[in-house]
Amino acid sequence: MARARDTDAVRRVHGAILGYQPFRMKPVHFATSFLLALTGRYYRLESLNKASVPKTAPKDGPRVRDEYPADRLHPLLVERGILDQSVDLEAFRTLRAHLNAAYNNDGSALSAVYPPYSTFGADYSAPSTRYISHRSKNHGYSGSFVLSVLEATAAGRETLEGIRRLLELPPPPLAAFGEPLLDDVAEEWCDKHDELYGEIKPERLARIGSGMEDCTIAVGRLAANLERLQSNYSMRYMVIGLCCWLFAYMMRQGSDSPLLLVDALQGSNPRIRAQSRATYTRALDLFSFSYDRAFEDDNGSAIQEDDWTVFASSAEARQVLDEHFRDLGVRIGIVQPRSAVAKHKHVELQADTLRVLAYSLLEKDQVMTLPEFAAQLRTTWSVVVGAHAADGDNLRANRFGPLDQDEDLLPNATAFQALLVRLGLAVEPSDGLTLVAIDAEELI
Amino acid sequence: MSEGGGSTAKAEGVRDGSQLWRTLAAAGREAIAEALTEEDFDRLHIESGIERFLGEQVRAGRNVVVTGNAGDGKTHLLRRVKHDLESVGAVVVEDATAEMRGDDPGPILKKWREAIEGGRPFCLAANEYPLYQLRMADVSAPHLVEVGRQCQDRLAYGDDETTGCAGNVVVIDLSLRNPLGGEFFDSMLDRLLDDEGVKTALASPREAVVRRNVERLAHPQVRARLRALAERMVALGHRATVRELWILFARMVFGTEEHGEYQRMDWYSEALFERDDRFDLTEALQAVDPAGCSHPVWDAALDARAPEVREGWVLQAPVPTPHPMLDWENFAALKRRFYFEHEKGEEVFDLADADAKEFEDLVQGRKGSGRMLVANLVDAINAAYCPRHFDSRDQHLYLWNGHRFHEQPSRSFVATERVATDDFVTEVPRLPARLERCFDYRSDHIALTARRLSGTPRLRIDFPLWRTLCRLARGLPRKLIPERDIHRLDAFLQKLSAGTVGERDSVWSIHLENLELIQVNLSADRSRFERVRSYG
Repeated sequence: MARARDTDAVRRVHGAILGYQPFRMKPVHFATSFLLALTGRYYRLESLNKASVPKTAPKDGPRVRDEYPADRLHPLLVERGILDQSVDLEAFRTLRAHLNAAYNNDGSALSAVYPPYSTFGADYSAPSTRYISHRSKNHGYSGSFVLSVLEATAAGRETLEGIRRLLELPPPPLAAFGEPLLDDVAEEWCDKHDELYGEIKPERLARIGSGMEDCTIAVGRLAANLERLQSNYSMRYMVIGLCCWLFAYMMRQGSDSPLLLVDALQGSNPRIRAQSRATYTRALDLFSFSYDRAFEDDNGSAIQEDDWTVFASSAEARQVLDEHFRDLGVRIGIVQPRSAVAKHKHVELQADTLRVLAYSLLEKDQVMTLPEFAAQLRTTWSVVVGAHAADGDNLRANRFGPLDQDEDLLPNATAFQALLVRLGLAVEPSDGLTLVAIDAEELI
Repeated sequence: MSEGGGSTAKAEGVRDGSQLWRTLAAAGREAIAEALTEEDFDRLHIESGIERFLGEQVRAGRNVVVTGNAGDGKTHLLRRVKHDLESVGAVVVEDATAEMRGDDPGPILKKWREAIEGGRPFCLAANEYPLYQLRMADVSAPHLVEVGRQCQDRLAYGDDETTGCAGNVVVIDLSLRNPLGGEFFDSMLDRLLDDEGVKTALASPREAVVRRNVERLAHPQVRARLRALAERMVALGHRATVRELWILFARMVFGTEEHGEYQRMDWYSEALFERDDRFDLTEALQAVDPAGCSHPVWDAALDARAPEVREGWVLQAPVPTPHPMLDWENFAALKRRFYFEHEKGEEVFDLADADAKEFEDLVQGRKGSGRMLVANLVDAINAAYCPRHFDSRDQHLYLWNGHRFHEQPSRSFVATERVATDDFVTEVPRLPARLERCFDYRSDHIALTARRLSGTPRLRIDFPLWRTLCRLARGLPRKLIPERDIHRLDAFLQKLSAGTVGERDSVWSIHLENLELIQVNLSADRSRFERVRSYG
């Protein structure tokens, strides 16, 4: 009973300060949450869940017969007309392994959730909204929170329109693979965010929306570019973009001018690596500390002192904050290394993440010089690579250093530039310029 | 190993006609422009078809935009012909950057507009970014729209070509003229060897080194093999600016000042492969260095000074080192000379990278691009996603998709659509018809084109990607594919997907953890799995 009270208290603190509950959340969890909130509907996906989560030994309960083992599921699917009877048991087992690889492609986020199983939640690597179920357990209603913030401003509403248009595009091939297992009828989803975390007042939503407006506009630009490009990876890029928005929001909770130094040299320059780690560590610390500051600034109006006492005295509650920040940063390809046991993490953009950020900053046919692009990266996404003249001063002003312009920042910027070129996002046409654009090779 | 025994005259204090070449030989990439006078530029000018072409276009009333990379000679070209162009009424802007107000291309737009209103041709030299800024400054002007179109359709492939020049504009992109390829390369070396200043230097008794280098560089066999190296570099994707080539040629004749007393270092063949950090071309040359390619028979013969390498030299054989064993530098120097001057020299590349040789043959049109080639390319691209070989892997290009949200690689790829190998062709690009007779073009890539799909998606295969595809065909694991190449393949599949409307009733799935491939047939309404075929 006491533990339940404590859990409620911690939840209320998160709701009052962050707006949602931080868990060890992966992008796939966020995707489920956001798409549930955006569409207001879900699919049961019982057949898909049973077919794509292989179990070998049955775990029958007193009142429930386990239908997950292949030899039990096979006749059921044949009987329901989902599986042709010519597909034998061995072929069915093989099919299940492939369905699992396809829809559990996000690091063990997909578990058996139908009786007799009930643990861990189910999040599918959803290629379309038809793969969204309501059995996700790890999102803390982060998607509902982001949706509410976006709905609170004109820029956000425009961004949401772009995202909705994106969802109407033809889905990628993966959507066809599991189609026989999908449900035809959607069910209405009940958003329990306000019930669990308290309603976020309009003025607070507007304030957050205003503070995040540059990122919101960037995500809207990303949606517009993805709609035009009609990529099979649109959904993936969109979710990474929204997660970057959430990561930026967390950093801005901690600091008015957060800064992450990208180690584009991948460790070959120890000074860059050390400062990159320092920027990440400070962002993490400031995010964690933002809770204390929020409580101090609150004067008891939104956070009950008793709730705060429970939260502040719980090491576990503190730890989950760090884990949430770290896990999201790693899983969206901003922070490295991946291993949870690696004590020191640094900032290193993965190829797809850089592509998402570029799509969020560049309009169709727009060309930026590398310093212009670097300036946009810094102001919108708080990411610094050393390619802008002010980067060194900014780092120094934030007490990161010493870094030498010629020995450290310039080589780092050059390595970053090389990555942009490798990804087809930049060309080096003449006069020592590097020009950044979507489809740079074709445009310039 | 010394030969000739002469010493190179120091540039300092020398004021004869060879001073220009010595300055070039000592120059870095950045130093050269400031060091040369207008008279020097005149001396370095190589008359080519471009001047004639430019004149014809302007006399026909067309506007001409000359663009390209820094060092390609745009401004130099327009300066050379400015008087002639103006004499037929053209307005000439030799340097767009100098004409612009900061980033504002307004002054150029104004001049061009006035030229159009006055019925006068307009000629402009512009680097690519200023030209882009110009295009973006007035996106509705027909002449600028045409400039944009020609900038994007720089090359012609197969039968596809938009003919004509709307807006009466011709864009000449000098970055397509690789001075390493074609007649321009020979013309430059001829200019140097025939220069009066060089001839004067040859008459000096102190210039034995220059005499020897000139004698060898003038020999047809040496020239042919030098040219072959240059062509190979072009095929492998390397390029040089005119400026870089002048510096390199000058070094091959005069050496560099830093060397002082001449020993082996002043052989033309050593100067050719000497690294200089200021100078990108010297790095690129390492890819075609004969010393970097081993040949068991000739290497052993050179090392042992065997009888077969004491004879067969087109000119005097290099004087061997007195030491019993050749150290690496001396062996490399000897082998380079062997390549250029020995009758069997070309054999040093017999064991060179077979992928490179095949690619060179392809881009130079020496090897046909038939169905087998297309099938091999399709198979290799499929292998980047599906390492499991199956019977139709070379018959269709499958449009693989590995959707997931987190940063880790996909556990599987799935394809529901595919494009038949017969729908692809390989193409070697050429200059578009509007630029015919302007200059020689040497391709550095081939294209794999889906000719029947809307938008004719095209994969540009340059040497690095070609090498990756060759390695994929030999089993290169996906995780070792260079980032640049996997991006290109992804982008190509994406373009193909956009032009393909599949029924999606067949699904191919490759499980990358157990390398198992299945083909799943769905019912027409996609409500039932009808068949699951496993490929091992």
